[in-house]
Amino acid sequence: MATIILDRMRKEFGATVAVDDVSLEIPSGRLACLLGPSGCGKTTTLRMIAGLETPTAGEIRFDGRRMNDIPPQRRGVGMVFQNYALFTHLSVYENLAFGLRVRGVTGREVDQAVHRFAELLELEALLGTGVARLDLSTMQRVALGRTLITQPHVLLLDEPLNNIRPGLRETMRAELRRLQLELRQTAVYVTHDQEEALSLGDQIIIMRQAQVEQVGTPEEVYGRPRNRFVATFVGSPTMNLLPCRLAQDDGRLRLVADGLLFGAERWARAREAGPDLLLGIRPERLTLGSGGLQAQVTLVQSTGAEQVLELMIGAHRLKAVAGRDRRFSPGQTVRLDFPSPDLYLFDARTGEALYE
Amino acid sequence: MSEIVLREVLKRYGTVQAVRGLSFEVDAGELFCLLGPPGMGKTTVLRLIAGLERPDAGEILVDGQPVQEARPGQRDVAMVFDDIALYPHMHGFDNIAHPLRRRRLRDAEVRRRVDDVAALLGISHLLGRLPHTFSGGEQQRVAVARAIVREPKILLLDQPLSNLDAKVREVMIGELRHLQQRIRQTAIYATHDYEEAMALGDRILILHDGQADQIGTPDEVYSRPTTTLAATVTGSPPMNLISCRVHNGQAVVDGWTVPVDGAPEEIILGIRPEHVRLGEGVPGVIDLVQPLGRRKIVEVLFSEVRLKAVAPPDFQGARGMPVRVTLNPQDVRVYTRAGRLTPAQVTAPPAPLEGADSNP
Repeated sequence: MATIILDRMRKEFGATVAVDDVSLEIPSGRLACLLGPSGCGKTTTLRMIAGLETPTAGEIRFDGRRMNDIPPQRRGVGMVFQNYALFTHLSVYENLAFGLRVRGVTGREVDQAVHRFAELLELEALLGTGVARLDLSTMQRVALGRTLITQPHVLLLDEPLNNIRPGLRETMRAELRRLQLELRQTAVYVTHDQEEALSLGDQIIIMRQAQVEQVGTPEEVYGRPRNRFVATFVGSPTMNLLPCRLAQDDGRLRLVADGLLFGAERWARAREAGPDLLLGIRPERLTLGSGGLQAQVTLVQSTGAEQVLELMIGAHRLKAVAGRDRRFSPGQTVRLDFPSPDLYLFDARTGEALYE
Repeated sequence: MSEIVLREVLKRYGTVQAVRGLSFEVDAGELFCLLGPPGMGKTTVLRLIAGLERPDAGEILVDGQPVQEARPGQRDVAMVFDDIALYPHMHGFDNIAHPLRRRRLRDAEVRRRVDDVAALLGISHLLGRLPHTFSGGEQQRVAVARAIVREPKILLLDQPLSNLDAKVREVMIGELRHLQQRIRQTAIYATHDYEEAMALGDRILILHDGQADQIGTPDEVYSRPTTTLAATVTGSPPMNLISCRVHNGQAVVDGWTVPVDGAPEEIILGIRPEHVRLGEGVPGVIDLVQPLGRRKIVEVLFSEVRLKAVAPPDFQGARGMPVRVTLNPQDVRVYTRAGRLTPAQVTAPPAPLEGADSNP
């Protein structure tokens, strides 16, 4: 188990900067999720940790030891990809044993380890089965077991659940999380799916355009996003943003958003920010059915458990989440309110979140 | 706008029965979703309707006319796939205009229709650019524009969003639903993603081994899945399914029981995670808490049975802590051991099994 430190890591491909001076610390025994849209640099970062890419600048350390010049096979990393690359002509047992055998482990030691990890991953009954006959989620468990059994210092996972259908994916997420709580394996997990990151990670590292935007627990990145990008990337449906400006009214600070007016005393820092601000509220925090504002329903989408509504309030388009107990239909008028403790404020120019 | 009818359609590939006596009707202007895990026959159904495959038996009717003998070009069907196939050397405009020019429309008419459809999809700024400069979502919008620009009778979409990032997909789902509300194009949309099917479909067909498991509106399919398969392909997380036995009108679960009316001896209880309430009821232990932003998924372990529950984001429980669990009887569905919905009803919330320790 190792603490991973990235110290001003940089990777250029020709004129393109894929990773731009990223510094991170991933504590021993923790699972960190690298989360971001396609092309943000998360996979390149993972590949540098693995040693599959050489950084253009910066240092990478495992437990204080510089890794830059250590080849991948000597770094003690285990990798799991979205294509499992199992030996389909071999049994589950042989696949699990393979990683140990290539490391020169033999005899009873192999057998004990295979049984221990098979038990952990609920593969015991399948040890004799050929991998080709397994379903995708079981194959993914075998792939994971084959890597875990080598007890890597660092486990690296690159979108391992991408090929698993929704529904099963949630089950796999729960299994992975449970496994992580038992093994406390240092791990880095790359994904573009914010829900996956929130449900799996001890630490979420959000990347955009080669840089780190925020590092925090799932609760922190959701509840206290550092900027507009994090606020809108994390959370589904996406946080509502309304352009607004700061105004003085009888000595009181107000936010004016095209026909809407909000008290602004809470945001002492709003004065320092530019004149253009963005007011944010998460769709599930809008109060529906009561309140002083009126909005028109323009779209209703069911998620099964809930309804996602699209609303027009003046010129603003908002999303709201409603339960299944009330029926909504396009064209209908609803009352709504913005509970003030649930509001966020961003500087429209820099995107920075302004807190009290 | 056209209506589509499939009657007892059968399709074999060698010894594999890809489609096994499938029947359904799509109304004019309806967006009809085929939902099912990979390998269940979704793509084959689309290819049969497009005319890329011939059925071994059965009928396919468009506007009342059998079309199974018609060539693809005569069917007036447009398709959108998951691997987006734009012409890389053509600008956005020419990509979208391509099907119109093949039909020898006048230039002025081509321009008017491309401009209209581009405005509808919010991609006017892409008309003068080449596809390699488009993002994934933009490419898919252009592909949809190209498919609908000639106003086909039928639009077929085969997992069009499956290669997009989660966040882009969320945006595209909203856009497609808006588009459908405006143009009311008869469309069949195949997906393995229940969120897409629920959000987009006027109706959903759950496809299982080449047969229809259930056909209904999103709400019908969600609240009363008629099979356990339909129950597990809808919902996030999917429905909890618990196999148990019934003795003297009581379903014996795992240290607790619920009374059931009219149930066979062996049943499967189905409960959606959002219907599992934490805080009161029968005792269990929290096995896992997974935060998802606006909610948490909590797994409760009894002796062997595990139940997933949805809790609010401020839920404070953690792994290993005791928790009490209850269910609203009317939210519990009762299935046969083979996975068919029964009319049996659970009549009261769970109670600890007689003699069971109520404080684990």
